[in-house]
Amino acid sequence: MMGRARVYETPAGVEFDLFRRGEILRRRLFFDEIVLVTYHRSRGVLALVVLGLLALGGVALAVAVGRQVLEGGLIVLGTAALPFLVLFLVQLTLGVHTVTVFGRRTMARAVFSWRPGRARGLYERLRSRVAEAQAEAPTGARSLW
Amino acid sequence: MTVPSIRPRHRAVTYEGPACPRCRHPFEGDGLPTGATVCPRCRGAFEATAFAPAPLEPPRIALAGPGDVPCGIHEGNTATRDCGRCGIFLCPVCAVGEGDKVLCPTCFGRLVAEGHLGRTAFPDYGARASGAAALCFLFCVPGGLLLGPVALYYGIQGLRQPKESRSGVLGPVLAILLGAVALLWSGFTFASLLFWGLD
Repeated sequence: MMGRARVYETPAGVEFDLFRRGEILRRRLFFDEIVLVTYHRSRGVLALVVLGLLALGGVALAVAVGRQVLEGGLIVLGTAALPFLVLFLVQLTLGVHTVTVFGRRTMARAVFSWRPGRARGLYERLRSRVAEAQAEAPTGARSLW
Repeated sequence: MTVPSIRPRHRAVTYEGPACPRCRHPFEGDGLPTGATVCPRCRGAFEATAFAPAPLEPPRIALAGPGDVPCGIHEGNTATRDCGRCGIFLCPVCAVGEGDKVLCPTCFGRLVAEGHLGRTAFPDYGARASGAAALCFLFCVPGGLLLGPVALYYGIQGLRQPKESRSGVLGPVLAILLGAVALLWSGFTFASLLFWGLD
């Protein structure tokens, strides 16, 4: 379940807008119903494979052109291979950072590809807000209605 | 009278509670993990913070006596509210919502199906417009004749979409520009071929 997400904080909870195949799915989790928040880092294999293949294609094209005209090969290398190679290395270095929130009735996940600081910030923010909300809530059972 | 069908727009996925964020293997044993954790199944590491929300208690119901108004759905229960849409008497078991927005389950389902209550899924016209524009860029001739209008349509829909349910403005604007250029370029190419031929 990879994909972009936009996260909104409301006074009572947090809303995730998940961008999935041409649709936006909205998930709402109330702070007093959240049972677990997790944070993890992964490599983002799919992005690495795609970027790697594009970089390889660019290099192959540059070699093919460079055999005929050396300057042309260098231009192709700089424009068609280098950007993907840089993106590949950045992706490899930064990885993909994921924050997952589990509630009583549903869960939501936000994936951050290029901004690890935001993922960490969201995790810390959610931890503190949920702890605050559940400390404020009256002890004992809460009515369903 | 035709009754609108309540058809979910998405495949139902059962949520079975907290699980490993990497492999989705449900946590076994007592309690949820807190701190740096390694999943016993996939061996993946993650940080976790567990919480203990207050338990939910079931609604308090009273059995209907001789002088009580019975619930329209559960005859044995005393009604405490009425549906804000159809007026049926409701016990706490079947009242949906709170405050002045109490509905019976049937009315709630109909309003959700008709889109009058809070929606949880919106078309992402921005992404569709960007996809169509990307295809326009790749297959400008002859694809622009078909994909150009598609990119224009989705781009305009993306700009018309309410701010709270759209992915951004830049995508639709670029899609409109690219779609228009691809449409004009493709149209010009076809017109040239039609009037002047390949020569």
